[in-house]
Amino acid sequence: MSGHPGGLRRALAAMGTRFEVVIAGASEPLAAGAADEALARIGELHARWSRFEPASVLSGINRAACERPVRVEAETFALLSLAQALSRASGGAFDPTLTGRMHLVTLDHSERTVRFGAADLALDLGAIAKGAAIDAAAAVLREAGVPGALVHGGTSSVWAVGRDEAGEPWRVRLGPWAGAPVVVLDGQSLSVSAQHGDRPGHTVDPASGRSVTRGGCCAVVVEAGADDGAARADAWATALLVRGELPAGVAGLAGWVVEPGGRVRTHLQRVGMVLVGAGSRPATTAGVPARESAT
Amino acid sequence: MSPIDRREFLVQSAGALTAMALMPTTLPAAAKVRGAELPVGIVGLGRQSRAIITELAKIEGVKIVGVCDNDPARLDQGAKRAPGAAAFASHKELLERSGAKAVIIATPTHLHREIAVDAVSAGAHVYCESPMAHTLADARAIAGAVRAAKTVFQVGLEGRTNPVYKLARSFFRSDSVREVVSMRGQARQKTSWRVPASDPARDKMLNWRLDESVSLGLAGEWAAQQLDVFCWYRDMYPVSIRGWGDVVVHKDGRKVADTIGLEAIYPDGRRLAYDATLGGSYEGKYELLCGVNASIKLAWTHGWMFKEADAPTQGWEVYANRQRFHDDEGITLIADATKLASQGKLKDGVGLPNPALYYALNEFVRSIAEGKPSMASVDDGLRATALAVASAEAVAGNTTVELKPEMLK
Repeated sequence: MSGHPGGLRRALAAMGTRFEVVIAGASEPLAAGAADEALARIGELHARWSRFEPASVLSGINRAACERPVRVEAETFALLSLAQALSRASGGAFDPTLTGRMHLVTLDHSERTVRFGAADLALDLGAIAKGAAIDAAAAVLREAGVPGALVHGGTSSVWAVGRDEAGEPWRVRLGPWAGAPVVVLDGQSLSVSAQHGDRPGHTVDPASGRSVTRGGCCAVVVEAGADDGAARADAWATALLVRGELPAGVAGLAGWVVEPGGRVRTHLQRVGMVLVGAGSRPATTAGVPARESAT
Repeated sequence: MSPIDRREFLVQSAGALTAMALMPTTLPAAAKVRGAELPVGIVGLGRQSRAIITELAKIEGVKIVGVCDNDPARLDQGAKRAPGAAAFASHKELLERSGAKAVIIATPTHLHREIAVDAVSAGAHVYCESPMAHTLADARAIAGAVRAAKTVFQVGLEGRTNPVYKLARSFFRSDSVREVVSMRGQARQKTSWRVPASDPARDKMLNWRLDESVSLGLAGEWAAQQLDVFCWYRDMYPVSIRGWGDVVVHKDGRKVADTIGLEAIYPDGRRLAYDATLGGSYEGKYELLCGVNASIKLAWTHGWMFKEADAPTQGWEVYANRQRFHDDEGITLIADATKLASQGKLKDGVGLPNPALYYALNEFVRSIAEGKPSMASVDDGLRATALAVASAEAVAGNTTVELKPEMLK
């Protein structure tokens, strides 16, 4: 089976960033079909979960859930349920209401409805939807049976499996610094939340309502085999950036803070992931805006 | 009056004045099924079915009781997306055992005929995705079955149920555009149209769009829907269609063109230029009707009117919401402006609050609940199929195809 030189690449603008799919070791038709189908799923979920699309399911919830229960389809309900569970588990550090009021969001599992307990409440799935979209794309790629693939959303959420076109493991560098460590992915999901420079970032601490100013790159890896691994990594990376630590009891993930310059502090090590030095081999860089990413 | 009060006053006034002009076509209320829930079955569980399931969840009183696909993987995934629905490998089983009173057909186009005829014959209401069929013979067979039945049949010609399109059509029909000078439409998306499949049999089944023996290509899958908008607006159908097409980008052995162009000539001599491609996405999908007084641009969740400087002023447009397009300024065509203005959300509401598919399904359910005729009838579907078949033939032969009146019946 002849592969596309350098791997077949396709990209899509969605959820305020650029998603990219790279397929390695597959025939051109299989690779093209798998990449397009994966991106189609991401586009579909953007249309459903974007806070900025008036016709999205999320916008519909935000318009009406303070007045009545809003019924949603199973996939959106599953994401909301996961978001609620992670908000609780993180002690509110990950909070889709951005105002510390996730406890005022009621999910009725038998009717699959969502209801708000305050008139000014709104959900923002920005810290989990990108990962969930990558999970959906990963499911497409797994079902398609491509030997190697990497999907990332704006370089901050990444899933990879198998080997790249050169037959090497997928290597992702944590942060833009030359000495930043590298994580090797094969089925695991990685998410990075970072605050660059001195300006206030886009991540808000729900407890204080202020932008997080913590420096460095907060990285979380969720173990392979989880259908919602990228969504969970996404949420936990935000929680790590907000609190600077992860709850000790969380299973199936590892978390690090990479400080400017590349020094690493390990916060949790519940999966067999090892960070390695950057060395001379190229790696995709996580946690910087897409236009600055280097592969 | 303080500056803030004055600004709020102007916004409210603008809303009220705009609303006066837009009131005839406000957003349709959500359909409500009286009594028991409406049990719905979905046949075909590919990409479109996911959107259908998402939109059906918003409609009160609708319950998905059965899903069907002859591909086991898709059936399994579809069943997970519709918890509580029974899963069937054939549409006949679904019709017999699911209890569905309404069936939504979202299979490959060439499979519509058998499913639609069986569903209608079984007494089910049917929503059939566009194009209704891949041949005129199939479209006529469906139309024959529907005419003999008393159930609702709606084709997924989404322009006809789209509130923005209905609103813009009311302007178009009330002479705001005046004499039509030209028409243009396009659909562009960067995709291979290929679905991953590792074995040849599944590849043939899933990649039916790339199979020239059953697929009308871009002419059927995209153009038919958009050409229908122009015909609905103008209440006339082209007399001929010239076409060209080529595999420009996806040279993977396919014969179905990934880039096409059409020129449709209407009975009054006006021409519609249309192009579609899988090679790029610039400006996406839209339809444009240009007249001596104004032009209307339609883009599925949005619509705009561009007035000529010498066009008569109607008053309301002075205050209307506007968007800049390079050197031109478009008046945003807002459905349900009255309600939005009263809520102070006129600017927020420049786009539809739901995808066009929602309104199509909502109208289908409303037709069933209220016993009203469908807004996109089987005859509309038959004519749109004729447009698609003629367009595909013109593209394949790089030629001109006459659209004879008997083809539209």
